[in-house]
Parts: sequence; structure tokens; C-alpha cells
Amino acid sequence: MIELHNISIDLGEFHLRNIDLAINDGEYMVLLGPTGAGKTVLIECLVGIHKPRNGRISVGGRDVIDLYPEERNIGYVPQDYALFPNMTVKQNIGYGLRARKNPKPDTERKVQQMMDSLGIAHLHHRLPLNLSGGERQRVALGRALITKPQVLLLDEPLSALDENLRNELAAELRRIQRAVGGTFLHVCHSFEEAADVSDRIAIMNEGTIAQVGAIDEVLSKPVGLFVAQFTRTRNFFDGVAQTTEGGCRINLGDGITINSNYGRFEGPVTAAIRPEDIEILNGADARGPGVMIGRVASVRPKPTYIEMFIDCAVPLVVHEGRGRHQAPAAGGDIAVRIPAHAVKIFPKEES
Amino acid sequence: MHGRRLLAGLTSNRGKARIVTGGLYAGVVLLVLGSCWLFVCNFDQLLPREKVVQSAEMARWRPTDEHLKVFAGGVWRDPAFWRSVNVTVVTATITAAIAALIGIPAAYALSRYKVPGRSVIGVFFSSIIVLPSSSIGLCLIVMFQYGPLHKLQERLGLHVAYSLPAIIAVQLVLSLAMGICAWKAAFDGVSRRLEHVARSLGSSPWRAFRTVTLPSAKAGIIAGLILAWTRAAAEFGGVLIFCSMFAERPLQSFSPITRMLQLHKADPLAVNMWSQIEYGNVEYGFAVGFTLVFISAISVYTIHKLGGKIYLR
Amino acid sequence: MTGEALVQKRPREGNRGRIIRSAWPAACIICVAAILSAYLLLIVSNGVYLGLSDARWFITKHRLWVRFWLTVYTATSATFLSMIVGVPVGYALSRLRLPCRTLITTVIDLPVMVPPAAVGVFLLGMVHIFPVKQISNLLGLSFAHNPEGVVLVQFAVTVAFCVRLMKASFDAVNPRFEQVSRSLGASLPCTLRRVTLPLARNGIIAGTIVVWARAAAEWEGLMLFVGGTMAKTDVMPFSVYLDWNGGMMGWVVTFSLVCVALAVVSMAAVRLIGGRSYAW
Repeated sequence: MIELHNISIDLGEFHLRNIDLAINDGEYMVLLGPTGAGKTVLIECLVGIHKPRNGRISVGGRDVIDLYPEERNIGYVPQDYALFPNMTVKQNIGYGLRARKNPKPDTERKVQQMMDSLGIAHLHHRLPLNLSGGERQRVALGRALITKPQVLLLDEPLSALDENLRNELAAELRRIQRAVGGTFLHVCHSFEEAADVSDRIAIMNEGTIAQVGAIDEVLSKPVGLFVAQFTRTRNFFDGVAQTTEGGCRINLGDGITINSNYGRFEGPVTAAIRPEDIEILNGADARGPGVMIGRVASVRPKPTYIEMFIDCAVPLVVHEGRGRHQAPAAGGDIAVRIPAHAVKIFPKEES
Repeated sequence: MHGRRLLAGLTSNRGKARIVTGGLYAGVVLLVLGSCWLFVCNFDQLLPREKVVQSAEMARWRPTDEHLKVFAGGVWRDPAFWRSVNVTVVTATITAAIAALIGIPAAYALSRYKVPGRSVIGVFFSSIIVLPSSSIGLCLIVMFQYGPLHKLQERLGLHVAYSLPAIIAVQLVLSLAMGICAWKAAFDGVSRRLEHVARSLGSSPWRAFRTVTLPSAKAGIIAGLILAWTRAAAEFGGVLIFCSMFAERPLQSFSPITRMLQLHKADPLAVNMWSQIEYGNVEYGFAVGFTLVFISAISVYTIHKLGGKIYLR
Repeated sequence: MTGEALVQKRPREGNRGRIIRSAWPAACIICVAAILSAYLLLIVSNGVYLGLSDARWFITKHRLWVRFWLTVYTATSATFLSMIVGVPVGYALSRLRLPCRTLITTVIDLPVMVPPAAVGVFLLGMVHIFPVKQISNLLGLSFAHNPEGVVLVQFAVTVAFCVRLMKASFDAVNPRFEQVSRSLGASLPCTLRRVTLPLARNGIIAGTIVVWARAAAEWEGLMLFVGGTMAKTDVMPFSVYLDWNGGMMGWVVTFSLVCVALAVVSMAAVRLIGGRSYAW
């Protein structure tokens, strides 16, 4: 169990403010956020490169904040894998055991085991610069995992790879984590990558943690506008909410209202709707609660869905899965329904 | 018609590019030729001559040294020459060793740790490298003979100036500064992440340095060592002032060790060269000069091969 | 993790382990402190020896200023000549493809690494032979016992050094800029003038100052080549030696400290201009 409690630090342009995070054993947690959010700084605090101004870090029940990196027993895989260029694959992997003065035959056996399980035994004599991206990742993982750390920290391990390789290696990471049963903390800035591998994700913004939870939870119940934007919610409208039974009604001005059962809110709010939650209707159902009629301004086909920009009473972005029906042509009329459960409400702060 | 075509050719973009590029190549060629000529035109000093110029000072100074009369290009037969080489090599090696021992940890600290006032320290070290050697020699003399260290010396019974340790001290000043600059650049080139990973795997800072940083920076460290050694071997002005010429010092001013190693009878190569020319034995001086050039050429070539960069002096 | 003990062997903890662990960083810091204090002691003891009142007396003397301005004049001329050769050749080494690169750079670097005394000695031989003799006769220059001789020695010692520095500054300018400029139709001289030189400007200025400082610190080559004629060839570092022979300790220490001040001021100027001072 890894716990960060009230961590704050100031490093030049990067800040962390009152970070609270708990990672369970055997969990794959992804730390997500835009560039500059402070994800790498957080990782480096965990490794022991920086000392936070205040707060407590406990790893497996031990308070580690005053310990040097070599005493913390935390695995670290930085962004470019940082394989030691002067050592072969075998020497790289065995480094941690040699540093702990493990007896030689035992080290040899363990290194061989690790290389076999990762499928890189045939590379044992090679130098890092002769390895491909996927091979380097496996060596870096082997090197970090062989010392059985409490948690493995991965700093943007897939960011520099092209998309196909990225999917393949993400699956690989997931598989290894399951096989070893370890706790992984994976930092990235891509939501798709997080969705591929994580059990839970923690979204960071400007040095604080905005939300922690499983993917479904974050998608359906985002906490705050930033999380909604970061998870690809597209339709944002400002309005004034009035509570009704079962939820509230938001008045967007010009007589346009949307109903929502997200919660009971009152006062100025921002409403957000995910593009894939909006339903496209056949002409016959063009009546009923939450229905809007408009015209298709433009259609953009994407690899796995079709994106439509629709001019209704309010401009809408709708995503429709491919293959369901014929994509409507640009310029045609269209009716859409916004279900009440799809409208998420975020109260506006008085600033 | 032809002339106009030519002019148009020259003033077009392509023509201008050709002129400029041609000019640049010519410049390089001129500089290379000039550098070569500087050394080559003096080769005739190495060729045998009928007579060796023998000034009165030389006769007085080395009356019994028969070799001087016959060398004329055979300076390598002169034992005094080899004693001189001996002094140079011994002092330069000791200096380089001391510089490495103190300088490499210092360069590592300046590269990695947040030492306060790093830019001021940087300015300070770079300015040592552009200091005239006479200034350095003089500062040392004042410090040891007239300044606060004089009394300290007397109390300890040492006498530093005008002895072999003095040569090492002078050489150390510049060697250390140059070495630290080179080694700091070498350590700067090794990513810090490697060390972080090594430490996260359980290495102590010393182990991480020894097994990860040092091997990765190997080329730069060796280049710095060669630089320090060569600079020490080439030190002239400071030695002249701080140690004067050994051949003129009385025997007592040298420690027993120095006397045993026969290091007190000769000056370092550069000083030797100067004194020979000053006293009129010009061919000898040129021959020693060529030896120095030879040593420097080997160092420069080795540093280039290692890929290190020589920046100053 | 699953089913096995968490760690084979816990890394060393406890106080003793920590003290041993921090031995290396402590040793590094001690080395830095020792070296710095040694150097500072060197300079400060000289200042103390001279004393403030004596320093003030010496500073006002005409004798010092004659040599100071001579040093400035010769160093500036030598730097100017060096730059004329250094900037183009530096650019050529940086951008053009030259055959046997290692050999060429070794030959060009040689005057930098060879002790300046040896360079002075070789200049002595070179000046009386073609082509230098013909050129100097043509221009009516004489090199012995003259500031021109001083400038020649300083030039010889600094030109290769200047080439090195200029090459480094041009290396720092991405060739992509020049390619774009030429693709937009600018000729090569125009590109150089408008794109390359402004981008390399900081590096060139910093390099000029370093070359100047190096030229002002040159004296070993002068000893043999020019001889120490008063007011004509004794630049400040040389005066240190000459006065030392004459036993005038006050003058010697003053000159020495002025040289130190010159060096520090030049390097501080380089740092302020923002160039890496090429050694740091």
C-alpha cells in the first residue's frame, strides 16, 4: 500500500499542492494529466530525487520521506528507460542485485529467470544501443522488477512510440503486471493509453489531483470541468439551473432548456454532454423530452466513429459509431435527443 | 559578351555562393599552410652544421660537457637533454595524478550538486585559464616567500620555493583549472537519470558514480587527463619565476629525494629550451622546441581521436 | 509480491550505513572547497602583501598606465587580426566538408597546445625567411623590438584558438536556418550576413573577449622574439618578469594583480553576455 499524504513542493516552474493519493497493493494506477501538471515531479518525489516541503510518504507501512533512494525499495523506469550504456543487457538486469551484495550464483539464476520470463534471453550480451524500443522496455522492466520493489514507477514509458507499437507494449505492460502481481504507477498524458492499462486513474492538473477512480467512474461522474474536458467531453454550455423533482432544469437563455438528473443544482452552472451520449433519431420520433431539431453543419469521418457538427438551438458535437446506420449528409436536417442522465452539471464558482 | 556573361555569373546567387565558398576553402588552406610553415621552416635548425655557436656563457656554465660541441642535431645524445625530459615527465605525471585525485571529485560536485555561487565559481576558474603564467608564478612566490605562508613554512621547516615540489605547485595551478573544466564538461554529458535509476536500484552514491557515471564519461575524463598532463609539461613562465633555473641553484636547496633521483640538475623542457637559446645555443634550443612540439602533437591527436574538445591553451 | 517474500535483502539502513553512504558527496564538496580556498588564498595573499595604500600609490603611476595601454593596444590589434582569419575559417570548419578532418584540425590546433615559448622561438626563425620577410619588407614593418612584433606573437598564439571558438559558436547555430534562408532565395553572402552572423552574435562576441584576454596574457613568446624594450614591447605580463628580475617587488605585485583583474573582468563580461565561457 503506497500512501502520499499532503505532499507539497516547489521546484522552479513546477508545483505540487497538498497531494493525497493511496495506491492499493496489486493495483495498476495511472497518473494522468497535461504537460506541466507535475506528474514527473510527483514520481521523482516518490523515488527520492526531491524532498517535499511537507507531507508524508509511506510505502508498505514504512515512512520513507527521510530515506535515500537506495533505501526505499522503489522501482523506477524513467522516460527514456535509462539503460546503462556501458553494460550489457545481462549486467543491466543484474545491477540491483549486485548493488545489494547478493551472492553471485543466486544473482545469475535470478537474472536468467527474469530474462526467460520476459523473452529476452537471446539478447543477454547486447548493449542497449543495439536494442529496439520494445526490447529496451523489457530490459528496463526486468531491471526494475528483479529486486521485487514495493511499487514500480513508470514515467511516460510509451510516449515516444508510434501508435501501433504503443498499443502492443501497453498490452505487454498489463500482462506483466498481472503475472507479477505488482503495484504499478504509470504516468502518461494520453487518456486512451490510461484506458488501456489501468485499474484506477488519478487525474492531475496544475499540481493537484482532480479526481481518482476507475475509468467508468471518471467518464460518467467527472469531478469538475477540467476532468470533463480532459476526458473528451465536448459540449459545454453555461446556464442557470433550477431544481426540479428528480434533478434540475438548466436554462441556457433564449428559451432553451435542458433537463438533467445528475443532481439537484441551483444557480449559475456549466452543463457538459459527452458527444457519444447524444442519440440520433429517425424522423418519426422527433418529439419528446430532450429532443432538438437542427441541421448537420459538417460531417467528419474518423477511424472508429463519425463526428458530426450540428446546428440546433445550440451547437452540438455528436459522435456516432460507424456501421450503425448511414451517416447523414452535411446540410440535411436531423433530430437528436439529449437524455437527462447524459447532462453533467458543474456549478460555477463565484470568482 | 563573354565578360558580361562572366560578370552575370559572378553576381548571380550561385556565383556569389561559389565565391564565398571558394574564399572559405582558401582561408582554411592558408591557415593550415601557415601553421605547417611555422614549424617546417625551422627544420633546418635540426640539420647538422659545421660549427656549433658557443657563447661565452655556455663555456662558463658547462665547461666540461664535451657533448655540446658535437651534437649539432644530435641533441638526443646529450644526457643533459634526457635529464631535462626526465624532470618534465616526472613533474607532469605527479601533477596530473594530483589534479585527477582532487579535480575529478570537485568537477563532479560542480556538475551535479547545487553548489552555491556556481556561476561565480565558473567565472573564477575560466579566468585562471587566461591568466598570464608570470602572474601565477609571481603570486606563488609572494604567497610562499613573503606572505602568510612564509611563517608557516619556517615553523614546519619546509622551504617550498625553488625546489621540485615548487614545479609541481606551479603546474598544478593551471593543470587543475583546465582539468576541472574538461571533467565537468564530461560529467555534464552523462544524463542524471542514469544515476537516479542506479540509486533506486540500491546503489550508494559512490557505487553509482563508480559503476555508471565514470564509465559513461570515460572519453571525456581521459581527454581531461591528457590535457592536464600536457599543460603541466608545457608550463614555462610560472616555473621560471617560482623555481628559477635549477642548474644555477646550490645543491642544498634541494631535498635528499630530489637529489637522489637526479632531478635537480636539469630544468623542465620549456625552461631548458629558453635558456639554451638565451645563452646562444640556438640549435639546441630549437631541437628542444621540436621535442615539445612533438609531445604536444601526440596529445592533440589523441584528444581528437577520443572526441574530446580542446578549448583553451 | 504474490507468494514470495517481499525483498531478498533489504538495502543497508541505519545510521552507520548513512554516514558511509554520504562519504562520497562529502568528499566531492571538500575537494571543491579546498581548491577554491587555495586559489583564493593565492590571490588574496598577494593583495594583502601589497596593501591598500601601496596599491593606491602604484595605480596612479604613469609607468603602470603606459604598459597597460600598450597591452590593450597590442591585444586589441592582435584580436582584430585573429578575428579576420578566425571567423571565416571557423565557419568553414563548422559547415564545409573537408578532407582528412582530423589531420587538418590537429595542424590548426597545434599552435594552441604547443607552449607559447616554443611558438615564439619558431617565429624567430620564420620571420627572417620567405614569405614573411618579403611581406614585411613590402609593408615596411620591422618586428624586432617593436609593438608590431608583439602583435605578431599574440596573433600567432591566438589565431588558432580563435578558430576553435568561432567554430564552436557556428556549430551552435542550426544549419536549418541557413537552408531555409537560401530556399527563400537569399544568396549565400546575404544569408551569412542576415541569418548566421546575428544568430551567432553572442558566441562571437564572447569568443572575441576570450581571445582578447588570451592575447593580453601572452608574454612567453615575446621573451625570445622581441626582447624587452621599455615602453615599446613590455606588455604587462612581460613587465612582471622584467621587474621581478630587477627586484622591484611592489611593481611586480601591482602588475600581477592588474593582470588578474583583467582576466576576471573579461571572463565576467563573457558570462554576462550569456555565452558559455567556453570552458565552463
